[in-house]
Amino acid sequence: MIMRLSSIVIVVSAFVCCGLASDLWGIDEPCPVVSEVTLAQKAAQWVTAFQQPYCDYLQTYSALMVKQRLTAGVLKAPGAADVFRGPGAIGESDGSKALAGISSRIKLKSPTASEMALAKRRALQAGTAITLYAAGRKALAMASQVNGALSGFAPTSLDFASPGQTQKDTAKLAHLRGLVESQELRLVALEKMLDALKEGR
Amino acid sequence: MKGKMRGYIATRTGKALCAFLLVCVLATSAYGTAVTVTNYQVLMQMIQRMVTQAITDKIQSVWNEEVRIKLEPGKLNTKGVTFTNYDMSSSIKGMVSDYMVNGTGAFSTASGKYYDETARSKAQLSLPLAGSDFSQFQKKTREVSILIAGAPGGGTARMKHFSTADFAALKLRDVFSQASVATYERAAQGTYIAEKFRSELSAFSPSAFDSGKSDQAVKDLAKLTYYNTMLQAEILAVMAQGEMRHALEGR
Repeated sequence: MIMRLSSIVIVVSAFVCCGLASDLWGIDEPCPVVSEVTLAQKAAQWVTAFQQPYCDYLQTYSALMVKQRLTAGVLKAPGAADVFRGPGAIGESDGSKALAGISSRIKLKSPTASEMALAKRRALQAGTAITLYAAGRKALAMASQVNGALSGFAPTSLDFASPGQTQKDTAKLAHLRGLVESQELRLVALEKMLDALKEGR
Repeated sequence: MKGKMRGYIATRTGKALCAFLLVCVLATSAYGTAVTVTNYQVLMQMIQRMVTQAITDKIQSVWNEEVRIKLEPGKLNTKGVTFTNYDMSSSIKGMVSDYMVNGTGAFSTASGKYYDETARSKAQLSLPLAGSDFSQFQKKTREVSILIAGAPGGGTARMKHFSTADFAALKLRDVFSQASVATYERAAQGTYIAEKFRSELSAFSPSAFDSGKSDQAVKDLAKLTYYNTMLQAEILAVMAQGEMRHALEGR
């Protein structure tokens, strides 16, 4: 009886050992009988192994793209835009001061309205001319400063920059160009104001 | 000891215990064998589904981040840029077509009240200041415009013996005065806009583009292009108005 029992135990133990050994060596026999939970666990392990390199690649690529976008432009013209900073419109105070002086000297004996208007118009003309001259002088100085700030930059360096950097530099140049054009408008407008004050016909 | 054990197993309880142990061992073995058996077809389908889902989720999250970056606003604050809001067009039109057609010129019989008041005013003469308040600026510009427009001529009563050429010359002079007023006011608007543009845009530091993303710089570039175009349109308007006046000036 004992012998029989012992042999059964030995057979069962061998069977168990074989099962464990095959599990250890990864020898999986195809079999239609399967546990869903076990499969899901195995699948999860595989998925982690498969997805990790791809997700890492995507993450690295995305970070690289953001870094590229954050790269500063190659155009370094510090102070070029600061040239246009300052209180009050350029040349305005010069013209106003001059006009105040001129208008205080308008003294006519019992003038008609037309005579007064003509005198005032001439004073305004002088004031506007002084404003235009002062604005022109200051605008010329600004233009020289902007030229000086930009002359150190070689546009060919944009050929070696990324599109993102070029976009940033284009924006900087558009900003500067707008400021330069604003002074151009001011000068043109003052010139036309002066023209309009002149008598014609 | 051996005999004691043999005696115990021979009992009913011992046999039952042995049978139970045997069943446990068999069940464990069967379970251990079953979990190592894999249905590859099902497993592969499951893995394919899970991997696809995981990668799709990752792509989605990266894309969402990409879209978020693309939707970030530019660095240039458009609320601080107001120069496009200043427009004197309707006021200029009103001055030229209403006031000047009826109130000034050789053919007008108006009293010339405004002209008289402005000419005789004791107030300090001053230029319209581009850095001042817009309504104040408009008021100063209008005062100068009234002086440029001139007094009413008194109508046709004194033109009985005028030739066609004389009438033409008078009409041309009236049109020239209108053009002068329009030029002055339009140019005055130009100086105001130029000053606003300078003060508003020079407050922005272009180095902000470097610290931002290139997508933001593109947006700001578009805004600046828009502003620059508005400025160029203003330059064109001022120049065109001036050249029209110049064309009427004659030899």
